[in-house]
Amino acid sequence: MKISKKVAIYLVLIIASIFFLFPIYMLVVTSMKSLQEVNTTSSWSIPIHFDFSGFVTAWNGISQGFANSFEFTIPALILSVFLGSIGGFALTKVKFKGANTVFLFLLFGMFLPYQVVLIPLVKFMAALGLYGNIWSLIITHTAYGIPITTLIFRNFYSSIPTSLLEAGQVDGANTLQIYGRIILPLSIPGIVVAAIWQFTNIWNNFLFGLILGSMPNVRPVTVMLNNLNGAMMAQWNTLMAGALITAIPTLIVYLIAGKYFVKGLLGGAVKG
Amino acid sequence: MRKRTLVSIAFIVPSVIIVGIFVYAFIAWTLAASFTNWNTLLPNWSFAGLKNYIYLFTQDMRFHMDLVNNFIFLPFFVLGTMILGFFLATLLNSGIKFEAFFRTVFLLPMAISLVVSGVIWIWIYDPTNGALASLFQIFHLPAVNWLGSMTYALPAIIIATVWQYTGFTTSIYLAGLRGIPQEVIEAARLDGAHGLRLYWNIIIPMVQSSTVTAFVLMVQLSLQMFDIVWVMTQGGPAFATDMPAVYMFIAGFKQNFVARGAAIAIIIFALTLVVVIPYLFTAGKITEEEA
Repeated sequence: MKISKKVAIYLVLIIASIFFLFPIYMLVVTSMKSLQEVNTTSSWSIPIHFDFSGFVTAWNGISQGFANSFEFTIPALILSVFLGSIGGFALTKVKFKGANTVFLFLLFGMFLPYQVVLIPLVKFMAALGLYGNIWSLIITHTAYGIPITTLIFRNFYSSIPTSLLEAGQVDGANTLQIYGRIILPLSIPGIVVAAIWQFTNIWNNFLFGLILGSMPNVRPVTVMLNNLNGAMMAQWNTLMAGALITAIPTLIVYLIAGKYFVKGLLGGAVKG
Repeated sequence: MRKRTLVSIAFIVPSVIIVGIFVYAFIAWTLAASFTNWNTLLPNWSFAGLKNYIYLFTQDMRFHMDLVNNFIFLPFFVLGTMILGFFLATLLNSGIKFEAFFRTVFLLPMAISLVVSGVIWIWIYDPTNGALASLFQIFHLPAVNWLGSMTYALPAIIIATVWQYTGFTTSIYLAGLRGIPQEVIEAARLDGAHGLRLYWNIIIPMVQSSTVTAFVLMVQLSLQMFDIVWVMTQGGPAFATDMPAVYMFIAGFKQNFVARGAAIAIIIFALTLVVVIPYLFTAGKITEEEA
């Protein structure tokens, strides 16, 4: 490749990187400033005096949501990954009649505009007596996570040779034992991909939290951040601190395990 | 063998029941509610026929604005994310160094909540102190209240959503580009295909499945766009950024117009089906061929 062409490619990629990173830069530097330092002349500059009072105020406003989000994200993640794993196993390793139809039946849920289920969802949770209970969010995120986790595990198990199972059967192992002894240990990469995808999705969700989180004891951090945005007009250091606190868990997961995050993203997108 | 099948079916039954309730039964409920007079605080299942739909399409100015906004938003968002995504994926795939670094940067917004992005972009667009206002001041341009403007609020939101989702389309196209065998490109080069012709005749047709996937996903996201609009403008100013999904939330949850909210939801759903059903149909075909 010609040097000039190479330079042009790098230049464009660097400009694109600036576009994608400058909001994150604004987020981080503003969160560590005092309110006096947040003004037109210095909004782009790094803090002269580091001031973490924004974090203190923001944390007071959203810490309960931060705890709530963990409280429903982790169980919903575990349940949806587990259901996706056993479902994906059934769909790939046992050729039962209509397996393909069942798969499409589940897959359709991936493209669901959530608006079409919101009203009955609230009525359903109220009828079960779960409205305002953390289980309403656990169950909801589990249910709408099933299509993607099933898809991820179905694609994953398709690549495990069936001969491995036959070996297990010769040994006289039943299906449960085959799943537990042979499939599950081989599933670790699939579990990591599905778990990271579900963690990010559930943590970042806003809509379900908005309609099911009317009580502060179950309200997710995303909804609390939005409320903080309404209450702290123009307190940009506090708002950016709140936004950073809300983003930290998924950002850490992304920076550590970005490779698996992309697999989840494409697992749900490329191979239908 | 039969026992094995039974246990396996038991493995899939919980998922089928849960999805059956939370997806299919709930859709049926919403569809039924959209044909009722339940535009009151208390449930009212009396049959209203198409009344709610007729009202939305013939009389409801807000809904008309929502549709117009949504169909302005859609092409800019879909084409913006797809063209930028294809372009960036092509650059990333050209054998450069630091490819993993750039890829990580482009996809970073996908890892954060739309609420977080929304709050950051409000700050960027802030007319007194924000990042844009600050740049404008350097160049002695007048301050603009981007999100408070009937003209600029919708484009401002489009830019924020393109920022959020371009890493997604870039990843889809990058996977597609990597799937093209190098020999195909070499052969085309030997046949004299270069530059734009190589792209137009060989590469773009060969990433067609990536294009279809990206298109379906981005259209689907446009039709149900809610979070970032709700956080940034709540549909304002004067409904300039209002979307069907925002109105659905207001009608169904804030104003007790349950039947009207349900009707809007069904319209969003029907529009989504137009792109999703053909896609699932082809996806179903592919899986059958594999089986």
